[in-house]
Amino acid sequence: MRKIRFVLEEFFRSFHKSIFKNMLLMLMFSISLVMGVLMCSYYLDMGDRYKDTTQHIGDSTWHSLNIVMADYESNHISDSFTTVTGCRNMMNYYEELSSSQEYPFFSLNDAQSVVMRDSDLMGFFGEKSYINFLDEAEPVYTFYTEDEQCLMWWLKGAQIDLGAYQMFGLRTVEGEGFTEENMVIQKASDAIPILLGNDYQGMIEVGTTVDINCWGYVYPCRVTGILERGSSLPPFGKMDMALTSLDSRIILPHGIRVKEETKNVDEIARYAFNDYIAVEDGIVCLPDGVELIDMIAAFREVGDKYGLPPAQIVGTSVGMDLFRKESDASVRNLLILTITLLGFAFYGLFVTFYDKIQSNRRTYGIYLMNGCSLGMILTPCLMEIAVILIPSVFIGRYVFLSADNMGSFPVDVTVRVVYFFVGIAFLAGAGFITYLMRGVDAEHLMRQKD
Amino acid sequence: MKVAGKKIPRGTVLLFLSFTAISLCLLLIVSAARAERINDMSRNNMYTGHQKNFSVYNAEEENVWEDVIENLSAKYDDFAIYMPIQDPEIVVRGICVKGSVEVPPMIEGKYFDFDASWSGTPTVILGKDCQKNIFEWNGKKYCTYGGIEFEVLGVMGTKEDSRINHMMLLDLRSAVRMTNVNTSYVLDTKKESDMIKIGQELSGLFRYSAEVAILLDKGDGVSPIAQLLSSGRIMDTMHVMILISFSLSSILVTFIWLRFRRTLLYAWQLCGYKEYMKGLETAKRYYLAAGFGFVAGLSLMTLFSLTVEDIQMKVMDIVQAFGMTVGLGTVILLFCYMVDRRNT
Amino acid sequence: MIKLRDVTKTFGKKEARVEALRGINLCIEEGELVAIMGKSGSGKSTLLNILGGMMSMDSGEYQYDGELVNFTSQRELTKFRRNEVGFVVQYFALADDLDIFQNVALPLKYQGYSGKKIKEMVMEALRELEIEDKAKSYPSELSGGQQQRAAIARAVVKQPRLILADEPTGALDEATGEAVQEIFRKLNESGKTIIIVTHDLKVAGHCERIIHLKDGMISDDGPGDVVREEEVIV
Repeated sequence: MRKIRFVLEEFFRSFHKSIFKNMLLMLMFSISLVMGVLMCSYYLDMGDRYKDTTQHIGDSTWHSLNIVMADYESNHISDSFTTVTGCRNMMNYYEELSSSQEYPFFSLNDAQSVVMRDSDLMGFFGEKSYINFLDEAEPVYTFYTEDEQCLMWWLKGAQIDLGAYQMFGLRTVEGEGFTEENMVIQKASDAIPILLGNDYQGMIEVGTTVDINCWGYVYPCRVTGILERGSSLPPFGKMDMALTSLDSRIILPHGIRVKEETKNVDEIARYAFNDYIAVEDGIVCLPDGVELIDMIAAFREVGDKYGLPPAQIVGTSVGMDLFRKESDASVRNLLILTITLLGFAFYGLFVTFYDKIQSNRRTYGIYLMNGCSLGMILTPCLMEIAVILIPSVFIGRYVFLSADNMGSFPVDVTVRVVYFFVGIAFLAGAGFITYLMRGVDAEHLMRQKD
Repeated sequence: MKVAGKKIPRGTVLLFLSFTAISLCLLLIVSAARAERINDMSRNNMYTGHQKNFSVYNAEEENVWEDVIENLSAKYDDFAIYMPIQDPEIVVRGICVKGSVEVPPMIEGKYFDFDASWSGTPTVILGKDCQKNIFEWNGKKYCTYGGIEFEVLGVMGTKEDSRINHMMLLDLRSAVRMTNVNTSYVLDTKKESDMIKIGQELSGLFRYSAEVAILLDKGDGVSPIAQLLSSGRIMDTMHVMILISFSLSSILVTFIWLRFRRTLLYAWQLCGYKEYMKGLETAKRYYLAAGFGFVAGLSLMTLFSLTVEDIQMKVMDIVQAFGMTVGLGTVILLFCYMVDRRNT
Repeated sequence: MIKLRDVTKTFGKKEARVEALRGINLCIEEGELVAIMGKSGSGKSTLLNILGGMMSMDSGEYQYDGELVNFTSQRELTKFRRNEVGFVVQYFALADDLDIFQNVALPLKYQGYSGKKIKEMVMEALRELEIEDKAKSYPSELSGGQQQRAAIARAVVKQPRLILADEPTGALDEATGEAVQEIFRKLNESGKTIIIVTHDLKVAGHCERIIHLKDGMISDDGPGDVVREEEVIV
């Protein structure tokens, strides 16, 4: 009990004496730790990638994509839909991503509602019952376009591109499915192909045209084909989940190409927006032998080429995700600075404790002379190091838990890495102190000059 | 330790290394920030990133903006109202700006100020690649757009191809006259914190003359830390954290350095040095070490910029970084010196 | 030259309060070589620091050359120390990173002397102390005796009238200590007033006057050839 009391008193005395330096060290370690973990997350596979978000189709690993919604909300890409050049730019961006030989790509949204005006719905279904095809039981009177308000109905839909159509082996019983030919329209005002689920067979004829609103844009559509019964798609491409039946759905295309140059922004903007959504619905393959970080770099290059945000690959580590917009050189600089910072933090710790032991050597000599063991002198120093490092744990936890506001990476893994780093720092500090105090005796301490 | 026969005082090497790191860090941050500002401006199409869209409905008269702009400009600085105009090839906007919001790099002439952007005279700022139809008359440059002759106030642009080169900014009055007052606009402010109050004021000013729909949310509940650690801001956050950490380590190093100077301080005291003389002597030694550190940091940065394409350093960056290093060093020295004198 | 009247100095508060000096009355004439002796804690160093303007007193008067020394003004104290006093301390107080020349030149900086004049004065002082060949050496390269000579050179370079030495031979061996004492004697012969705090009987024995302090008060004040055995510090 007396020994514990002695150790605690010595710890508080020593800590209080250099409280300011200790606080500086706490801050330095906290900052260095966060940066060190981020750098490790970027460069090393620490296991903080969400492997659950990857899909396995066949032998390949596929990742979902996003263009982060916050960017859109801040009009980062707003001019992509207000000028013809902006629209073409967006469409070329999508085309480059989706036609990449290196990183196979498809777009799929198995549950995309589509909207019809009341009058269009009546014309489309005629006398036949449409209840089974509705996504919402009741219609809503709202804006169909910016200028037009009317009664609108929500129907079940899906949206896929040619790649997804082919990949999941969809086939038609009537008409034709999506093909390379029918996915290209001559003029922006031409109708685009849509497919219908098998439940529509006998109700709607191939060739029927209708206007459909999706995402606030109106598309003139023509029914190209009706799918086989039981056609289905894996939700978000996830093969391990229950398949979504397409039987009662209207399937819109992603990736419509418009041949003719148009000066009408309204006409082309809907296809540009469709391509933007196609990236949001995109799923990209990580080929064998290719590192995820290389794929991120490739996507960044495409983004830079078109002046658009690089598509976010879901399931990367926290470091890869945060630095996806930065060039390799910038991140490398950051790495150099982080290593230097860590070096300074450790150096600061070592110098502080070296100084502390030097300035307390007479005191320690007196303790030793009076029967105190070396362990009892060492223990308060180790406790002090632990106290300096503990805030790093809390700050690291807080920072990474806050960063994971969208649940985009397994934060428990990252927090374990934080503990690991703190543990390493503690062992380094403890090792240093033990080394300094090795072989010390009272006479040696007392005899040292100022 | 001796260099060229002269003894290097204890602790000085640490100080030198500290300031090498600080100045390298500052040079990297300043040059990256400058490059990023222009890139961001271009990527954001000259919006700050926190701009808000709004629409005006049911305004019966074109001059509905007169009172609104007059009231808004009397109360607030550093805001801009943009009116995007549809053009097949280039980005065209009407603009009324008070103070400075996002000022693009200008190649010729000057950018809009409040008077120029809200004057009776049609004026335009052209992007570098939009100068096709310029003509000169009476010593001034003009161009015609939408049937109106605009006086060219200036030309903006960047050396590398960017969106700024393909933009055209008209004064807001002319833009409204060319199209229709009932259309979409964009409100932008220099500081994100001003957006809500200016947006609400704008909405209030239109109350009787028209309707305005502007969505002013206070944020979607994302924590400040999450915002700082978002992919759009992570580099800035990292640079600031590095700077803070190096500054803290410099404080630690300065305390150690001052501790090693105690014998010298005592000697000065014995010799009857006044306080300011002691301070001056201490500062001379400190700035010498810091100065050498800055030179070393600058040399390293020069090496980086020669070997790495992405890093480019300009004279202004060096001047800014030097000023910041001196400022930071002075603050650290003053703080540590005062604390050290109080404790001894 | 120096007159102290009822000088008191206390350290600490409440139970830790220590009266280092209790009503010291003292007169020292110009040109005297005085030793102040006493046990540890008797107030010797405190008295010396007050005499040199390094420390203020709680009450009393300090007259130097008939004028009151103003302890409330740091500026005046510093000026007094700069112009009138040369200090020598036990552990030399030489700056490690300055060579001997620079250390000795310290008091002359900011005095308005030209570089040439400073060099002249410093070399003169070093010659006087017989270490002019060590001008470019650093303190760590010198022996204890040489370092103390350098410290004395620094104290005398500006030709002060009063030299205060606090245990100047405390860190030196006997032979070196005697050499240092000889230096003080020579300086005294040249007209300087020297006050030495010491517990060394031999050093005190060389002084013409010994003041004994006991519990903060002067217990004895007499010629140097009479030394009380019971005043020897263990």
